[in-house]
Formats: sequence, C-alpha cells, structure tokens
Amino acid sequence: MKSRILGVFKMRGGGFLAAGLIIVITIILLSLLADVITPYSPIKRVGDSFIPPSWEHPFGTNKLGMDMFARIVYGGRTVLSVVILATILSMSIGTALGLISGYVGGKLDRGLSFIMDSIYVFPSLILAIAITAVLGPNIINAIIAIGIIYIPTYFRMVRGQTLQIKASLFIEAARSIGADSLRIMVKYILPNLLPTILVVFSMNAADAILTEAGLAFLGYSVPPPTPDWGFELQVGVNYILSGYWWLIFFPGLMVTLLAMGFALIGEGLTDILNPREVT
Amino acid sequence: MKGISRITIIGIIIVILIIAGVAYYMMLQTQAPAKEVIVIGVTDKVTDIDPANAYDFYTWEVLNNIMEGLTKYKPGTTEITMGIAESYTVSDDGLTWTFKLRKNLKFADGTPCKAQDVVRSIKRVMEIQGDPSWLVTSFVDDVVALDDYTVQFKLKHAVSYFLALLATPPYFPVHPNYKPHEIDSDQTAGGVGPYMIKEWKRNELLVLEENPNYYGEKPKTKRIVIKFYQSSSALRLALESGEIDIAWRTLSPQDIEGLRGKKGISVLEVPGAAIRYIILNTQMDPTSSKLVRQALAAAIDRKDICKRVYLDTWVPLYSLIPNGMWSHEDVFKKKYGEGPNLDLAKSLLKQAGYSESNKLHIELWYTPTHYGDTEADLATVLKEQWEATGMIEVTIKSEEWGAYVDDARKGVFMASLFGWYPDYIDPDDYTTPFLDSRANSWTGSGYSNDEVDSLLDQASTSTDINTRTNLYKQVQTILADDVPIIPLIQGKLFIAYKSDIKGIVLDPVMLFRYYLVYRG
Amino acid sequence: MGKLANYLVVRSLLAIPTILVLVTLVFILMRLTGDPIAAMVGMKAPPEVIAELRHKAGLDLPIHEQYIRYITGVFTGDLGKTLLYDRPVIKDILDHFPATLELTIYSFIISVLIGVFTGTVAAINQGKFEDVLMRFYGIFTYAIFIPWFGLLLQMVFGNWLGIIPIGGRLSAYISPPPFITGLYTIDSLLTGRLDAFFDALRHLIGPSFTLGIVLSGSYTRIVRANLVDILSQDFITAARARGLRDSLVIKHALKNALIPVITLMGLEFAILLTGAVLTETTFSWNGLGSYLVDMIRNSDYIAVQGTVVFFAIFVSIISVIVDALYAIIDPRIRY
Repeated sequence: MKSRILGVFKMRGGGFLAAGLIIVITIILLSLLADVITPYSPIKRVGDSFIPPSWEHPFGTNKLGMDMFARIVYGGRTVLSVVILATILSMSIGTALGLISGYVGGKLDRGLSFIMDSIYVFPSLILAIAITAVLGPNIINAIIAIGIIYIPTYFRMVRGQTLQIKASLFIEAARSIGADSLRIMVKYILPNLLPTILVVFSMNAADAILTEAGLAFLGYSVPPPTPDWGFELQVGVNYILSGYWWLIFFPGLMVTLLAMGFALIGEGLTDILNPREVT
Repeated sequence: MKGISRITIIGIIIVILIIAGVAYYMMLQTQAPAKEVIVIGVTDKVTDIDPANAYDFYTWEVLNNIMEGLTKYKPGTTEITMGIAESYTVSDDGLTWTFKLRKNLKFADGTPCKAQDVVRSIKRVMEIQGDPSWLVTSFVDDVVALDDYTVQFKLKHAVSYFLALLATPPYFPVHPNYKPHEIDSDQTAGGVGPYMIKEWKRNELLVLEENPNYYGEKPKTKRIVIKFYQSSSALRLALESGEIDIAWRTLSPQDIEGLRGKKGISVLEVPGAAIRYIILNTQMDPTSSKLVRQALAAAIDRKDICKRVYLDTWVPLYSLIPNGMWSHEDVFKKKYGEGPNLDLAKSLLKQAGYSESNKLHIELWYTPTHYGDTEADLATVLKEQWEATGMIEVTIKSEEWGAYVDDARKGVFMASLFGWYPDYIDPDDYTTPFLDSRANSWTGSGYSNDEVDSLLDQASTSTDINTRTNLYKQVQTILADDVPIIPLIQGKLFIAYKSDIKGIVLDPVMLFRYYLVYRG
Repeated sequence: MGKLANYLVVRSLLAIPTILVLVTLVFILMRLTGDPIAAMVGMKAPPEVIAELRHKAGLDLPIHEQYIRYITGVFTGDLGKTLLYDRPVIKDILDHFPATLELTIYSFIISVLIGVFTGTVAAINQGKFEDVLMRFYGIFTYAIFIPWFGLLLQMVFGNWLGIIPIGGRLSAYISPPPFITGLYTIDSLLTGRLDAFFDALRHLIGPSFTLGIVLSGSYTRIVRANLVDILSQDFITAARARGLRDSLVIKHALKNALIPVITLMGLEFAILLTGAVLTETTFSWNGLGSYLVDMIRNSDYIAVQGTVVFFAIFVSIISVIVDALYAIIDPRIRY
C-alpha cells in the first residue's frame, strides 16, 4: 500500500506534485503552528524599528518595531483562510451551476453560459477591486469578491465535461433504469468530474492567492494590524530607497512560493490524471 | 539539435548586449535642467484650476502663484497685506468694506482687470456653488463695483477675519475666459498673478512662465516647471538624480530622513498648520460617557506617535489651535499630562465601570489613502496605546475616503481619525468648525455645548485681539474637559532642494511662492 | 473574402451582448455603493449643496431611468463627468489609455520573445534537464507576484545599481513629445525627438520586463506543447529522414507551432490587463490601471464605472480581432 502511494510521485509529473505538496504543506504548517514557532506577537512592538534580519529576528522588524517573521507566519493564516474559503465558494457555486447548466441544457444553459463567459473574459483583478471597493474592504468581502470572479472558471470546465458525460452510454443506462435527474447528476456525473475539479482547484488556488495578494497590495483586504502578505508589501514600497529590503523581499516571496506550490500541484496532477501526453 | 540552441543562445546574448549598450548610452544622456528654469516635483495633484471649485491645498498654492486677491499674506509671516487692492475702509458696524484697486491691473494676455472683474469673479463663485463657495456665501451678502477701481462688500454679519478670507482663492479675480456659469477645470487663462500657465498636462506637468503684465515685482526665475510624481520615493529619487531642483509636497517621513545629510541637498523644516485628531462620538455608547472620552485622551502618548509613525516629522499637539498661533494653549497637557497617563486613564475607566475583565470596546476608524500611507500605522499605534491600559479592546476599521466622509457626517463612527488644513489663518478656523454645534455636523461627534457656541460667536465678531484670545482660551479649556475631539499632532513642512537653490520662504500659511526662488 | 467579412460582422455583433452584460454588472455594482457625491464634496459642504449636486448628476432619478441614461451614454461614447475634476470621463480615459497600451505592447513583445525561446529550448530537449527547467520556469513565472518582482527590480536595478528609473514614463527634464498616438516611443520617433525616445525606452525597461516575464510562462508552455506535437508528426520525421538540416526543420516546425499562440493572445489579454493594473501601480506608470486605482481611492464612482466599461469594451474588441486574425491565418477554420 505504502509503495503504491509513493508510486504516484514516481509517475510523470510526480516530481512537480511532490515539490508542490512540500511547499504548500510547509506553509500551512507554519501558519497553523505560528504560536509555537515564534515567541512574538505579530501585532506588538518587540524591539527597535527597522532591525535587519538577524538570529533574533530572522526577517527583521518593520517600522513599528514588529517582528516580520511573526507577521509572516501569522499572515499565512489570513491568506490561506481567504483563499481556501474563496475557492470553496467559487468551486461549489461554479460546479453546481455548471452541472445543472450542462445537464439541463436549453435556454437556461445558453443564458448562464453567456453570462459566465462575459465575466470570464473580463480582467479578474479589476472586477475584484471593483467589488471590494463597493462592499468595503474587509476579510469577508475579499472572500466574496475572489469567490465571485472565479465561478466561471469552474462553471466552464464542469459544464463542458457534463455535456460529454451526459452523452455517454452509462448515463443512458442509468436513465433507462429510472434514475431521476438529481440522482444522475449527483451520483453518476459528479464523481466523474472530481479529478478535473481537483486540477482546476489547485490551479485556481494559485490564481486566488495572487488576486488576494493583489487586493491586499492595493489596500482592499484585512484592516491593520492583522498581518497579510500583500499588505506588508504595500507598506514595503516606501522603503525601496531606504534599502530596507527585508520588508519587501520576504512577504512577496511567500506569496510567490505559495502560489507556485499550488501551481506545481496542479501541473503534477494534470500529468498524472491526464494520460494524453504519454505518447 | 545542439546547433540550433547554440545559435539561438548566441542570438539572445547579442540582443542582451545591444540592450545593455543602448541602456548605458541612455544613462549618459541624463542632463541637468537649464539655468533659467527651476523644476519642482510634487506628489500632490492639481484638481481644478478654477477658484470656484478648487478646494485642496496644493491647487490653492498653484492658484496663489497665478492669481492674486485683494489681500495677501506677507511671505514668511501670517500677516495680511494689500494685494491687488491699494487701500480699504470699513464701516463702524463692520458690515461694509470698500476696497480701492491698483490702477493698470492686467491679466497675463494684457486684458485689463477692473473692479467689475473682481465682482464678476466673486459672483461666479457664489453662483457655481462649488466646494469652497461657503468661504464667500457664509459671509458676503453682496458685492458691487462702485466704479472701475472700487469694490464694495456688504457682509451678512461682522467678521473679524474678513481680510484673511479675502486672501483665499474664491475671492481671486479670474480672466473673462473662464466659463461664466460652470466649473472650468482646465482653464489656463489664470488671473492677476506673478506667473501665467504656459503648458498644462494633467498629472504630468505644469509649466509656469513669468506674467509680463504683472503689476508687482518680477519673479526671480522666469520659468517654473512642476512635475507630478505618483510616489514619495519617485520624488526623492528625482531629486537625488538631479531631475528636479526642489522636492515639495509630500515627501514621506522615511524619505525626508533619507535625504537629510545627502551631499548637495538641503532640507528645510518649517512649522505647518495641518493638524490631526480623533473625533469621538458623544451620542454613541460607550463614548457618550465623558469619563470614557477623558480616559482615551489620558492614555495617548503623542511623542511615541510622532517618533514611530512619523519619524518626528510631526510634533505633539495638545489643543485644536496649533502651536505658535495666538491664543494657543496646551490644554490637554495641563489636564492629562504630557505622556501616557495610564494611572489616570485606568482610574477614569474604573469610575466608568470598566475593568480588566469587563473591557471597554472601542471601534477606531481610519481612511487608508487620503491622509497618506501612514494611517494604518497611526491606527495600529493608537490601538497599542489604548490597549496598554489593560481595560480597553480596540477594533480597527477602515473605509475609502468617500464613504468615510459620508459615514462621519451620519454619525456612524465611534472614534475616527481626521485631519485639518486651514482655510484661513485664524483660530476661528480651528474651533468653530469642530465645536460650534451649528457648524460641526460633518464631524459626526454630535457635540453641542451652548456655552461654547456663544463664546465662539463672540470671538468671531469681536475685533479686539485680547478679548478674542481670552475667549478662545476658555473654549480650549472646555474642549479638554468635554473631549469631543482629541488633538494629536501638528505637521511640520519639509522641502528638500539642491543646495544652489535660494529664496525658499515657507511659513504657517504653507503656500510656497515660486516667484521668490532662484538659482544662486 | 466576402465570407470573412461576414464572419467579422457577425462576430462583432456578438460582442455587443457581452458588453451589455458587463456594463449592466458594473452599473449594479456601482449603485450598491455609498453616495458618490458625498465623496466628492468632502467634509465641509452643507447638505443643500449636496442635494443640488445629486440633482445635477441625475442621482435623484428613479433607478431605471438612471440605467437607461447610462446605457444610452455608453453607446454614444458619453461616460459622464468625473466627480473629482468635473471632466468628461472619456477624455480622462483617452488621456491615460496610450500609456497602458504602450506598456502592454512592449510587455507582450517581451513575453512572446522569451516564451518562444524558452518553449523551443524545452521542446528540442524534450525530457532532458532543460525541458524540466523550462517547465519549472513556466510554473514559476505563472506564480510570480507582480508587485514583488517589480519592486525587486526597482530595488536592485533602480536603487542599488542605478541603471533604470524606479518609476514614471519620462524624466522631468524631457518634455513629452507632441501628441500623435500618445505612445511616447512612437511619437518621439515620428517627431525626431531622440532624447525623448531613449528616455521613454529607459523608463519602459522595468515595467515591461516585469509584466513580460510574468506573462512569458504561458507562451513557454504552449510553444513547447505545440512544437513537441509537430516535431513528432510524420512530415517532420520524413524531412529529417531526407537529411534536412535540424535548424531548418525547427524553423519550419516553429512556424506551425506559433499559430495557436494567437489564440492564447486573446485569452492572455485579460491577464495582461490585470497585470497592467499591478505593474502600473508598482512603477507609478500613469496609465489606465493606476487611474482606476486612483479613482477608486478617491471614490469617484462615475470615473470607476466609465473605466471598467471601457475595459470591458476593449477586451471584447480585442477578442474579435484575435478571432479574425486566427481565421485569416489558420486555413482550417471555417467561417
């Protein structure tokens, strides 16, 4: 059993998957265990302002004398919770709508597809900014905004697959034994969609992280002093000329690393679940 | 296969080398600005080049360089002198003011400027009802031209600081080209000032050139170029690289610090008239309790705020009337002490019924960009200071400026951070708008005190400075006891410039006169 | 050719409902917000003035009338007047748009160049170390957080080495070239202003490489995938068997592999604009993206609404153009 699980990583794309999982799991663990890892509070002054990285403060301190390492590990909680809740939101709504739209077809399908396509082609960050600017910048609204803009991503994929599966023989069979629509959708179609949803989820999580960070960078995420990577970077902008590189380098690195972790998982999963490229 | 990638790689390397070469060549191209031109960099924006609607600090400064009113401030002081008017008389009841204009006043293109133009311009402001129109409409009942050189004002009530009001842009005569009935944001015809607008590219640059028809002294520098930057860092770098001669509003605290002591660059520091404060809602639980408000005032450490948030580019302020202005008194220092008075704060909180286990919950609001990028830090430090009492728990919230102002007016905020730039240099502008219950609805504090209202009424109509000083002192004492507002800090002004630039005169009026600067 | 023209007309008409959906969405979003007038007048204005201004802006009309006015405006090119400066929004947009266009064009060129290069290297070394490296490059650039990358460039090349400006489009002492297209590099060449040309180019380095590198990953992937596909096809094998030189083979294959890149261009465009917002903010680039952010900060909802609508129309137009290009270039498409 053990060897079979490890075998996944030996497959094509397994390396990417493994690397991605290591990154993501490490960051999740860091955030969850923040209280254990760092003795400092992320929102209290712990020393002088602008101390460069040292053993005492591995990522230095910021203007108000807060420990940057503490802010970054605690900040992971903010980022992860926004991103995970937002992607779950878009995944569930997108999947449900895509499934219904693809299965029911007709006018409903055309209408929904049309609206979804329109949103899909629109620059996502701009839409997210517009939504949070209107609703007000806070964590719930950031989740809603990011959740909304990625619904079409799931919708398009699920709808397409549903159309394919709907036409297949075993759905015909299920219908012939008298299964109702809801049952067919949930019992027969949905399970077949899961692998693809998983891939889209991990690629989408990477997008969502970048969007969340972008929102925070522009000042539309959590209010201070709650730590959030994108916001740290916005603060850091002021210190380019002062040379306080640690205020910029670490928060941005974390955003990029986490996004890359999810993108690697997505890439690996695509290889593993999609044997098309084996030839 | 290998051959290909090698060729491609060589190709790429060549391209990179060419780019590097061109980049190097371009670097050598950096040139210094010409002699008879002085380039000023700012991060502020010019909104409307129309005194009927402009109501922000920087635009007012530009207007003051291309226009002039009947009166003006004497550079370097807060003293009022005559501008385009030669002399004036005022009736005994203080309601009728008559001004004699200078002869031969001309706009930049040679069009004469007469009393009728002054009247037309002021009436235009009254009709358009733009943002700053209240500076006219609240005081002036009517204005008429008695002849080509005589302007007469009839006031609604006596105003002791009317001459200071006349020095504000809504009273400036503008060229007849300005659209008569509507706001004309990009109009470059200007008024009767030392400079005229030569070129105007919104948010990019503004070129001013000596007005050949100006009645007064010629500007020391023929041409002034104002460059608009989007960030303080860009502004600072432009000064360091020699792109600009003067870095003006607004350098961030850390960039001022970085520029100090740089070779060839001087930094000038002047007291400013901008103030920051916390508005407390006297109608909302729990800040409706005077004890709570006093406790919040007592727990504040202004020096710590200045040091950590503003790197000492602001100074502590213990009253609404700024340091250095007549009638100012450190009332908060007297009542609550200089630093954080945690013992007092704790005992006040206990009296109000709070304790370590039953904490006072405060919602503190700020707006993220309007007051610069230090707002989040300011809110964070205030939270830290209040929570140091062990009996307060602070939640920080923010809103964009538009919603912020709107919600403040509606009285939605419990505690909110605001700031004030003066419209005219008089203690009245630092008291009436905040404390007079007929004028302070925008603050959302819901504060109303009949005694304060009547004291302020007396102060604004009296013409005797001793009487007025005394009245403002009484008002400040009541302020420190009632605490609808906690004054925090007062801004200093900073200007960084190349050391060969001379003639920079800055004063609490905070208007930079471009016509006085020159290259030494 | 008649068929193609027909196709283009139909395709363009199809874009209208898309625009309508987006425009309506924006309208609804903007009506959900607070009072835009309060934002404009700031804290010192009396209530009567506010009421008067609301009336002037038509904000006291019933919602459906506002909607009709707004839609008519959009289709007649009237996007209202900004609350902040009282200028026509469309004028502001056209002032800022060339900067964005210039940035996106240069970024696009850089991303395609890098993408084709890395993708080709990966494809011809399929399965080897270079391939894995390039795939990794693709994933890494996909995940780069633009402000981070841009700020690092500014810090290293702008501040430490001092070889690129840290922001803006032009140095202060260079007066902008006369307005022809609004793209500084083009206008300066057209008017023979070499100083402005080089200065503009120097300012373009930071932002266009930031955006270009971030977007190049997608091209790496698609070029690699296509090239691998084509290289394994029979005609290539045959060509090789006949002893055709490798370099020629690759050149031939690359030509075919680039066709799908056009499709990607269309899809990438929305991402390009999203990236432009962040890049412009990071590099103080006075384009439409930073204008939008600025207007949101100033709560100028009329300007925000207009800008978002403009983006929507622009994206739709680009997708029409891309479809047309594709139809012209790829003979397999039936229209």
